[in-house]
Amino acid sequence: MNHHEDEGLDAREAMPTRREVFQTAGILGGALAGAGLFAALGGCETKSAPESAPAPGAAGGDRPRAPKADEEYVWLSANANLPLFTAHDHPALHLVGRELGVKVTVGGPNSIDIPSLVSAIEQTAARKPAGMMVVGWDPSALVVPINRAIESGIPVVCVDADVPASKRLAFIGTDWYDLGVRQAEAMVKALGERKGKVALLGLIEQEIDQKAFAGFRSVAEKAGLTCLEPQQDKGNQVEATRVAAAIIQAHPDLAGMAGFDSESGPGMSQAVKEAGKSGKIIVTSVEAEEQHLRFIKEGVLTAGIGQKRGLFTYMGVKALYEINHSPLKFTPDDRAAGIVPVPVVYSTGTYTVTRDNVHLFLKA
Amino acid sequence: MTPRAPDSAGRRPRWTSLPREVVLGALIVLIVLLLWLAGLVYPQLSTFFTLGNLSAILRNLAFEGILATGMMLLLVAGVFDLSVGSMASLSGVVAGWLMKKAGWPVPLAVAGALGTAAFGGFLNGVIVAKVRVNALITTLGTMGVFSGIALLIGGPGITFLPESFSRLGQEEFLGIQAPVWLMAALAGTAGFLLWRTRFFRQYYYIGSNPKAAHLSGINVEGMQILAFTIAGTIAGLAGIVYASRIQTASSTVGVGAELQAITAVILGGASLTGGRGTIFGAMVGVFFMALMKNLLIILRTSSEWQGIILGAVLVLAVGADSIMNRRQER
Repeated sequence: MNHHEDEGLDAREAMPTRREVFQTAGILGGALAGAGLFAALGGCETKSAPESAPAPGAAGGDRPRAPKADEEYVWLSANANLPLFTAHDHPALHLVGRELGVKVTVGGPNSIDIPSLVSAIEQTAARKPAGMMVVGWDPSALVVPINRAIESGIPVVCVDADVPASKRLAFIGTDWYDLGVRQAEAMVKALGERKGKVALLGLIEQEIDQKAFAGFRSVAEKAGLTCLEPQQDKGNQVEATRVAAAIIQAHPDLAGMAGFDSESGPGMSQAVKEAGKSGKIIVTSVEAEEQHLRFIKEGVLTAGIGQKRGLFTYMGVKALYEINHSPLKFTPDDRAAGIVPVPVVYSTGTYTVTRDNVHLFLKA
Repeated sequence: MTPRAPDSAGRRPRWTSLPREVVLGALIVLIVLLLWLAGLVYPQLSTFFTLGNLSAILRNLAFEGILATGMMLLLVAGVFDLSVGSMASLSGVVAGWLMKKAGWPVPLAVAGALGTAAFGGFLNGVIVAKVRVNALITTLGTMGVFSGIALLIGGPGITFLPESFSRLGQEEFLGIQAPVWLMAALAGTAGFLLWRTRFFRQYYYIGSNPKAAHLSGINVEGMQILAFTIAGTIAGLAGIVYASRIQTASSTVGVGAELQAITAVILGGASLTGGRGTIFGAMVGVFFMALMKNLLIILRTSSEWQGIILGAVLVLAVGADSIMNRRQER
């Protein structure tokens, strides 16, 4: 509300005028240009363009191994600039783009906004890229746009999180059930003979987290541990710390905590440390980022289960590239027969970081 | 108590607002009742009433509490800022970057980060007050700009910040961590300024009737720019203190914090149309929200129900206040 406006603001007045929108667009355009300049001056990575064409493979069949000019592969996700993505998924995407000599692009909204992700998929499909990788943030809402893209002849694979009900050609990512199993194994090992309650934190509405909870329970409950109902931490460290602190107070006999999104681990560790219960409450979590490694080194976080995130986009582009260029043929017309020359599921695996091997992961 | 500007009929300003005080009083009573209920339902949870639990609740509300102080000032002035969460992330990352990558001494790095935050707030203020762009659009845009820059600078986070820096957020006095004391000091100072000083009381007049305030000689534009600058600086302080507490500058700590702060201050007595609210009310709102969240977990409420209950409480509290205000106006 500005001083030039009359008192008694109504809903219509609260709406921005066209002039205001244009003014803001101009101002923010300048600010964004400044930010872009800052990034360029700072040597930050930008979207890669093909640097050199690869040597054409000695391909048989009728599909050329070399990429076409301006062959583009697009990675689409909600929360597209999540630090985890910018640290692993995006650099690997640009790496494989340079390696294959194709254009790679990042797209999607900067928040967990499924309608905007649907819109991004549809708009990207309209420009007919050579292939699309979609992070399956919602296993049902994304079915239609993925199927439409496939039906319009664009190869689509899911990376990181799957949309199994869609016609996607392949899935490349972590087996989250297995990730839950790994966490539980680390938890049971650290607890030894101790039994008791274990709290679970994560993005509870996400299918991948639900799979991980199931994997965790399958091992933990057999070992005599009681898993509490999973709590929502909104994928936010501040929230994860607050929720974990409340759980610690609510359950003085808590034996362990397991976290299933990238912010759960640091949040839980902070809460455990501040409650003076480091080592008394066993903490495990997904991911092994710098913050996780710091807590592992301090002995607060017992185990971080890292995902090989770089493989998601690296193998994603390679899979799409093979779909377009593979010399392998199973029928005279594989596309019509619904056969793709790549595996349907790529399980990229995990690795476990503990205090014993954390030095291998810490930057010098 | 909320001083008010003269209304359009030129009536004498009201120095008390009974419905507002009633709502705040009801909130406090409700908090005490909830505490008592929790003790009744789960008597085994003796730890709930301990200093340790209170300390944990306070420790985790300090970030939002600091943000709410600045947000209340803005709402009193009739504007709000959706970029405070992003600014908190950005300032923490700037402080971390200056310490770890640029090698600046801690005080200089903190000053640099606070300067960045003040500039960001100033920029918001200029766009809203001078260029006259709606505050919602302006701060929605700068929210994206600030969070984008934070990601560019900080990436997934800057860890292992210097010990001398982390002491700022980890020191304890009487069992309570430094960020809580900082929040209390900030709220006390802001509350005093807003309640007792002629200069800051002008915000009530601006928020109630900006046109009348302008005609009465108040520099509305300047005051709005100042309010945004103060709110930006406070958001920066929140980010720095949080980075100090966790010894890491994370580029996403402030995600969603702006809505938490707005929710708390509205619950605590502010109005989206401006001219009302107190810092005391903001603190009650923050404390109430934190306590509710804590109790819902203590009471083993599922996450889905927590969202429903918190949302319903907010709508009920604000709706009841609105009805009472309308009755009073009749």
